[in-house]
Amino acid sequence: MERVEGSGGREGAEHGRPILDSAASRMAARCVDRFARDDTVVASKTNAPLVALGEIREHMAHSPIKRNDDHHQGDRPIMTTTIDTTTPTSTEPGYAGQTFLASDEISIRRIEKADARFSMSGRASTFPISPAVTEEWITSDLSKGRESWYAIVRKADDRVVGSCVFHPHRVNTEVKVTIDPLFGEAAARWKAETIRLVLPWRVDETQAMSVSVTLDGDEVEAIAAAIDLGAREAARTPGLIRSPRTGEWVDQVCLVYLNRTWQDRLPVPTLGNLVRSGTGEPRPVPAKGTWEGAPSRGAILVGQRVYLKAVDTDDASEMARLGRIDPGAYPGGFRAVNNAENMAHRRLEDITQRLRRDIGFAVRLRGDDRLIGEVAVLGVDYVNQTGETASWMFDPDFRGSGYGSEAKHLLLEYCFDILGLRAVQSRVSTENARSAAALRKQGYREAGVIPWVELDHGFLSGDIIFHLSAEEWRALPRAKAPERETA
Amino acid sequence: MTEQVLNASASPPESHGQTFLVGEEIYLRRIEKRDARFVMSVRNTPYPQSPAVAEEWIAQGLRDKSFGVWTVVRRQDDRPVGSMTLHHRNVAPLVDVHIDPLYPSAGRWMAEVYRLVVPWLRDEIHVISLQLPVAADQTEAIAALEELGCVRSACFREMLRADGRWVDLLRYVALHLHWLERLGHPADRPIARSGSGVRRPIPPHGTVGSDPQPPNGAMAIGQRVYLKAFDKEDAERLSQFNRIESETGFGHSRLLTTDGNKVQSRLEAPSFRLRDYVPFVIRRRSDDRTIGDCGLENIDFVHQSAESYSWLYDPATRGEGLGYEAKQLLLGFAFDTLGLHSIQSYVMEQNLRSAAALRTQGYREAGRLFWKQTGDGQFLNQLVFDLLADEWRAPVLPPSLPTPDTRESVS
Repeated sequence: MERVEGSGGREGAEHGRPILDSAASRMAARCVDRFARDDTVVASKTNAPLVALGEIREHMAHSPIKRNDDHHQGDRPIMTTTIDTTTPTSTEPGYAGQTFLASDEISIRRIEKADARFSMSGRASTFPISPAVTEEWITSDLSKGRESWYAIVRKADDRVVGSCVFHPHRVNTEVKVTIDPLFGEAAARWKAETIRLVLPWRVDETQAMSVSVTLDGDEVEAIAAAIDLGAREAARTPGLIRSPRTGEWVDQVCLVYLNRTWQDRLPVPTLGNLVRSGTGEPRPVPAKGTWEGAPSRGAILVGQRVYLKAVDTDDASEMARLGRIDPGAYPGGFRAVNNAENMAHRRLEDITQRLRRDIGFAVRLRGDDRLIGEVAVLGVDYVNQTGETASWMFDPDFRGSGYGSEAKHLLLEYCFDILGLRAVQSRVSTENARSAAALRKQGYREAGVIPWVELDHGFLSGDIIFHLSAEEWRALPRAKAPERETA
Repeated sequence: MTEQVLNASASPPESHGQTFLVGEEIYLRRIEKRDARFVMSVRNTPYPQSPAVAEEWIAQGLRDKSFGVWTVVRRQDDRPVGSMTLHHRNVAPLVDVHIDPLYPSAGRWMAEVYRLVVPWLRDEIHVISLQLPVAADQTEAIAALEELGCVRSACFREMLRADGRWVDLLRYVALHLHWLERLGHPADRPIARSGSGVRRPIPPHGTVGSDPQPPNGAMAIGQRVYLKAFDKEDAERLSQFNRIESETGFGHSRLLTTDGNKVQSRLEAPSFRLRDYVPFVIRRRSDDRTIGDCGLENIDFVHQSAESYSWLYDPATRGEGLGYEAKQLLLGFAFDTLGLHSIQSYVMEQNLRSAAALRTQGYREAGRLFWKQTGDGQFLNQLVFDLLADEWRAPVLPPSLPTPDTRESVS
């Protein structure tokens, strides 16, 4: 699988040590080799499901390099699937002879089809998943996604007790470690052990620039293990996560482990060395609007000057047009050429309207119904009741005049009062001081800075993490509504 | 289109001469594809929806025979402002009314919808038992229902979220007058109860600790049982139990299932996306034997509510507290893992044992849904229960001490 998608295979070859290989990844490589010759459908000798090579090629050609967290809910990540059309041939413990990624009690190896037996320990789902469905998932989706999935196994009996997934971005690799909480105290110990194994391996041995790992605030052993290694606490968002151990709300802690050689050469952005603009003080929340007569069609939330509505084809077309005539890129960003089709496509909603995770609104002016921007809450996590807010003011004429903040507060009302979220987060590039200042004005607080996230304009930028809880938002000062005009 | 343009529509059609379901300010007609333009007024959804997708939803709905949708239209300008959905259910169909909350007149129009549809369905279509859920903050609608002779039959506490606060969901019912004359009002018959009705303490969780082989697939472990995902083996086992069921007192007939349809009905999605249905198998720890199933249905993550169910298939395991232990594990999953705020449960009124079990598990009576189905030569009622997360977490007090919540239950 690593060879199929690039990074892992190259890393293994260049550094002289093979990556932990599995029957699944070997089979994938074989499929790809054969695919180079024809588009036929092949089956393994073991009567395993058929694999359409055309689909593999299609996927490889268009595989996006992006966060693929569509499936995440709660704090439990999913395993990326692996094609495994063979049956395991060895019955000896998986750690036998393994010289790295192994400690006293656990070892780490690639996910195998046989691991479906332990799907609730290895797959790390909030919901019950049967082995049959897990096996189907393992055998049908190997080449999807950019993540690399590893099983954490107990050495004593080769039993899967958890999983570790590497999610590579352009610069940073996110690591998610999950141990089945049913193992009680041992789970905490094994998680700390996993951290001790994978962070140095990924950064010091495979030479990744930066690895980040997100932990719950009550995972003290794992946090201590990361700090002992030399990782730093980059961001801490208070009370964001419901602890699976206690059911209590705990902090979300993001730790980063940076490559030491690069650290000597490059500055590490922190909250202390950010370039800031504005006063940093929150401004009053604009008054809500009311609508005498008929609301504009599709309106959902109404302010004094703007309203939010569902994105339709007219909005998508206008967003694309405004994007193409934007006079300049925002700091830390770039302009993009879109058309109505792809603008509409990424906003497509589900007809069932069930549990949407990415929810976007067009922002239009009340006066002349002009489209000026878009706001959204993305990756809604209904278990932890959180989401990530985002906003774009497409029309430059309406930047810096408070329209964006008015739209944002309507979005926050939607998040907190309608969806019932407890808190939202927002990410802004360390180079984008204006957007960061806007978030502070809107009441968001800084949780920290994740360094070295993107390659921007010849240097490495980070992400400032902001957060705002429903309680904090409700406590913000409120502007009074102006005298109502006669309808 | 601007609001000015919308307001300026000339010569409103005034309900096109329709002779019924026409009120002073609004009227009702069947939903049409063109209503997709006003989907955010017509459809009761927490999410934004574009007209293009709404058209597809309307077309699908028109083909679905399990429910019908009527558009609520403002007479003044023939503009859709809401909807009435009729869910066809045996003798007790259910009516949902929605008016776009952006209209300051929404409360008044909702009341008007009830004044139109309740007499139409009860007195003209002769619905026997019309079920009418309404949020407790809809005061004008509630007043209209009571004027119409509808009876409040249940109150699900804090089941809805509105403007950032919790609101009760009330259930009103409109019973057919002829049937009432013949049978008397079902509310006059007291609820039969068995058992002490006293809540029992929550048993401690089990752990696998140093057990080298914890149960495979376990998600929650108690002292004697554990909950796990369904697999084919469990489905086969439960289907066998269905075929040898000896009791009929659950308020419905015995059922024959195959392992195939059991698997289908419990099949989980292969993705990790949130679901509105989460089934578990109950297994006994001592012999790893499948003894029943339990789960959550109709999970609503926005309002943080769900309906719980549980079933011990093996008659030999009933009455030993195993179902109780499994239910507490399920409630832990619902409240602590999923973070739900309230759980509801429904039991046929004659199923005294299951109702008693719910009381000992901490559920409170929320009321009765009258004449929900036919059976044994009569219309049968359903007892409804609810349980809030805070109540479940609160320590169980000895029976001699007063309970901290003095809220009255509705029956």
